Amino acid sequence: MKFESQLLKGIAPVVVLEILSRGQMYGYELSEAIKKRSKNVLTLGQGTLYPLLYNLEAKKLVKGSWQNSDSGRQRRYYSITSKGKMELSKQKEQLAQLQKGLRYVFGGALSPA
Amino acid sequence: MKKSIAYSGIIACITLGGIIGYCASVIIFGILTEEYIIHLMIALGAFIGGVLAVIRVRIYLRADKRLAEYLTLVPENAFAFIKEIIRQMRYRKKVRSDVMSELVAHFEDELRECKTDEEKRRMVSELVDGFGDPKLLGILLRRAKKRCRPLWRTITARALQAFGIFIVLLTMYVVWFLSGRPVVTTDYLAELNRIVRPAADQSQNAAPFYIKAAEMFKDIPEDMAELFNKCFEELTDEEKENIEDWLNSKNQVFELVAQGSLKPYYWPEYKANEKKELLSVLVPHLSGYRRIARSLILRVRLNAEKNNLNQAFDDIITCYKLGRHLNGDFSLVEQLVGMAIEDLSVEAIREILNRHQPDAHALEELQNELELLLSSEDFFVELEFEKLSLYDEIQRCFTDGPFGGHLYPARMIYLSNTIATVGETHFEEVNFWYLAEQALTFPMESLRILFAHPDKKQTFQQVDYIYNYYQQLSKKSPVELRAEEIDIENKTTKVIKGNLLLEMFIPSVLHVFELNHRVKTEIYATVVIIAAHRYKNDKGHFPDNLNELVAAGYLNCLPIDSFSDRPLIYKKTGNDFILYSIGLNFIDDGGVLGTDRGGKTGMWEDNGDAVFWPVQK
Repeated sequence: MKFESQLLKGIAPVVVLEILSRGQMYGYELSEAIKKRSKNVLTLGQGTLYPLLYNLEAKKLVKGSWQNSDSGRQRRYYSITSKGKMELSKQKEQLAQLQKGLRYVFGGALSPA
Repeated sequence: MKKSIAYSGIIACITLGGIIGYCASVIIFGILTEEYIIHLMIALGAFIGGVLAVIRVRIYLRADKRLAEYLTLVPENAFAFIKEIIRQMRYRKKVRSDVMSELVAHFEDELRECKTDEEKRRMVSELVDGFGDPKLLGILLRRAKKRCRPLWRTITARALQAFGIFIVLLTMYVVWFLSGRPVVTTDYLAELNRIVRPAADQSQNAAPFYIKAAEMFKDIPEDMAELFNKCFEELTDEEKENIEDWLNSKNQVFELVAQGSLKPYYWPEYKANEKKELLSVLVPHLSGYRRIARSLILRVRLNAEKNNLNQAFDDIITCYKLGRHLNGDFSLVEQLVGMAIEDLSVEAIREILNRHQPDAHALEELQNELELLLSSEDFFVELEFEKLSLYDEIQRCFTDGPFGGHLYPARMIYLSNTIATVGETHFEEVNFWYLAEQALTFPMESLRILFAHPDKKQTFQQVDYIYNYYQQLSKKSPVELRAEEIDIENKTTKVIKGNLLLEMFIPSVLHVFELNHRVKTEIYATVVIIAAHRYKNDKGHFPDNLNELVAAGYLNCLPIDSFSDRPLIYKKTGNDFILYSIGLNFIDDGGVLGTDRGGKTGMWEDNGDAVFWPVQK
């Protein structure tokens, strides 16, 4: 399922932070993890992923460093920072509120017909 | 190939470093610094250049090696796509290299599971679709990476950008500045010749006679020049005879001067070079006039010694008129020579009165002649010549046109070299490289010329202001200037400060004004002395005071001392009298002459009076 780009753009940083909060990953791993964990509902295009990671890095929510991967090759691993964790919890709270609000609006009708 | 490019780059960097080292040494220590400092700076620059080049080459080779490695990891078309993204990023090399590594790694990971070339091709195609437009992605990556950079790097980048903009603007400004050219719009030479010429025809002009006389009197033979320099009282009879013979051979010259002196006007026709620059106007006959005046005064003394006083007085009047003619609306130099000749003439009168007994009639005639000449003499220093010369120089030193009006450096350098007689710089030699050399040698002056120098209009205003000010001051006596606490030099410096042209050309007029008043005082004092001698001839004694001279009709009015604005001081001393001005110190020292640093008394020393009678030896 394809999401409207504006909708995805709004939640993509929270998704990335959430995935990274469970352990450091490099770009490919991260995109695979998002697909896997969202059961292919959320797919972050590669063209969105890297600018997003760099923006999060600029905001000091994640930090990147070159490390050897399991395959022995150098990869740039991203991990969440303490600031990122705080931001994530804030965003999660807001998402919960959003979800609650949406449920009030749509009631049981939020599930696909 | 790559190695030879690398080596060439290193050599180029070493050379460039050396050049930068040289420029730095010139800027920091000046072009005239010790040679070893320049060599040291060149060596340092070359060393730094070399080290930086080696580092750069190593980075370049490493990057090249990495690129080759990438090609082994991903297919060529994928790598070309990544390269296009990176190219579109247009950001720092280090960042681009990092992003490239990351993207290559991503492609490598995605393609790892692909077994066949077909699978790989399909996957690459999917990935390329996933990444989207490389240009847009490049821009997004650049923006994101820019946000990542630390504050110090942002500040540095902004500072470098600002510096770059500044350099570009500066270069544009310098190019514009150097490309400006002055336009000569006014023929100030014609203007000058128009001003100096009175409303009279050429037959009333003394100049042709004087010029011809000066041309005929070009050189004084060496032996005669030696005699001229001797004190008249020390000359032997034989020497006097020699001088007389020689002077007789110059009768034609004196005759021409006498004819000229009878003319009511004198006006020279100034000539300049083909560009009509007033700076090139020469007054070539002035030294001739001075020689003629000195010779005439020698003839006066010789004639007086033979008691041929009428001839002596005629020569004195001729000489005085020559001085009077030169002391008109001409250049300062001409006026100064005129003053000196007038002074020489009245000094000769006092000498004759000191040694001889002229008859009453001759004295009366002499006094009448002098008074007649004085009645038409205003004793103002005229500065119109200097002002027009500056106007002319302004139009040659400043650019013209709608965006012009700034200083034209080539002309300024030419002028300063000409004035300082630094070598023989011709205007055509002041090219760009010469300008650059001068800019490095005198960096502060160059910056002043570029950014802080008054423009053409302001310079014209400054000139007008200064010359109006001088013109007003030239009408004031020294005592008035003193009472008003006018500091001409200081005021002038304040007005023209920062204007290189005016700093070079504004004349120092204070001494000229003072000299003018000294000559004026001496002439009036000489008239008084003649009148006193006439009085004595008639009454048998000198008057008790100056009022007696006026009351008896020997003087029209009391002579004013410019240094006190009161009458000259006259005191009867037995059978003689003393007549003096309070002089340069503005204090009545009781008629005692001042002395110079060596203790020698002199007429116009600043620590005593100027005594006109009795005549001082």
